[in-house]
Amino acid sequence: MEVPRTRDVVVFVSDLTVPVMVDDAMVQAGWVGGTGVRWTQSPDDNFLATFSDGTYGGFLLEGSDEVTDQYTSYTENQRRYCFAVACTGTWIISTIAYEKYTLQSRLVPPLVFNAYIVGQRLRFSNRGLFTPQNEWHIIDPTKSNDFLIGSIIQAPGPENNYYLTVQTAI
Amino acid sequence: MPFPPPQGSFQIDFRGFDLIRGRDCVIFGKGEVYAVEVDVTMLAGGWAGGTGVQWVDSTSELPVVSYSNGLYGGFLIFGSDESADQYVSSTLNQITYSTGVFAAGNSIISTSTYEKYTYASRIGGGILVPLVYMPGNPLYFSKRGLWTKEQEGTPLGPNFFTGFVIQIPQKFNQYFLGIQTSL
Repeated sequence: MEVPRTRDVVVFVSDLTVPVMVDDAMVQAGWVGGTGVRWTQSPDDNFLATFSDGTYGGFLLEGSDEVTDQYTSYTENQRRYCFAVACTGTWIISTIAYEKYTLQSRLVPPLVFNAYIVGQRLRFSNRGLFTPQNEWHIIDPTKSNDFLIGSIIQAPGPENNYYLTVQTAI
Repeated sequence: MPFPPPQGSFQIDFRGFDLIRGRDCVIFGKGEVYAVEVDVTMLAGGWAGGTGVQWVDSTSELPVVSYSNGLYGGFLIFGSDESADQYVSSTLNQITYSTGVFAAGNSIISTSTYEKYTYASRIGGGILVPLVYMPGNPLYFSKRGLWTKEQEGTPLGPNFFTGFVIQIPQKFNQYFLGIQTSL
């Protein structure tokens, strides 16, 4: 059976969702569905999220400008109103929001593919994408990112449009 | 986005909404909830909504909880005698029937039930030193079952991680602490 993957995040099992505001950095840059976010301080009485730096809060369900949302009333809706839907808890998702290349190779080319193996634990990268690498430790061996946020249940490949399938535990 | 939106604009600025906090523990996202029995210590002392509890051994048919001493199980959603429950049929209902509504799992809450001062200053007898919370701070239950960023320890060793700060207490949120629970 084919699983259509027409969004950045395809949800197989859902858990808790909560509407959040997103900060100016996210509004300016936009984001893909599945992007990891962390909490940040809001000047108003609301819950404000920004790109994860490896720490977590959850991931965003929908991208800010997905192809699927074009020519609908939802086009650019989230950026316009500075909001998003954050997801926490245990989800099973398939997403494009993961690091395709190792941190080392992104810093110093040539690019080297990240190896994704079923069962591997995942973290958020320093820019909020799922990754198997401990990027804090790579940059500074005295630090370790122990915020494990899930594990791999299917590696990206041609059979799944190169989506990473993840069981989250956030 | 400018606030308020320009005159004639149809834009809505969600950032201006007032979140009503009429209870000790306000829930924005709800995890698992379960009715539990509370032990005699809690019946005698009462509790605020959002209080951390741990499981205790008992001969009761129902699972029984007591105040957390740093260990976790979950938290109680409703306080035993909240002002919002006065003059209604649920006034002191939980105390009368020895029950509480227990929450575990992943919730998004805003609560007044957290430690305002450091453990050292609370037991030291001197000047109380405020705890400063920041978004992303890991949270634990204190020795008396309140949310705190300090690891006060437990009878069984290190504290159990219970959640994260998502909004710090301020005047505009009536000094409630925003929490993403992980129980």
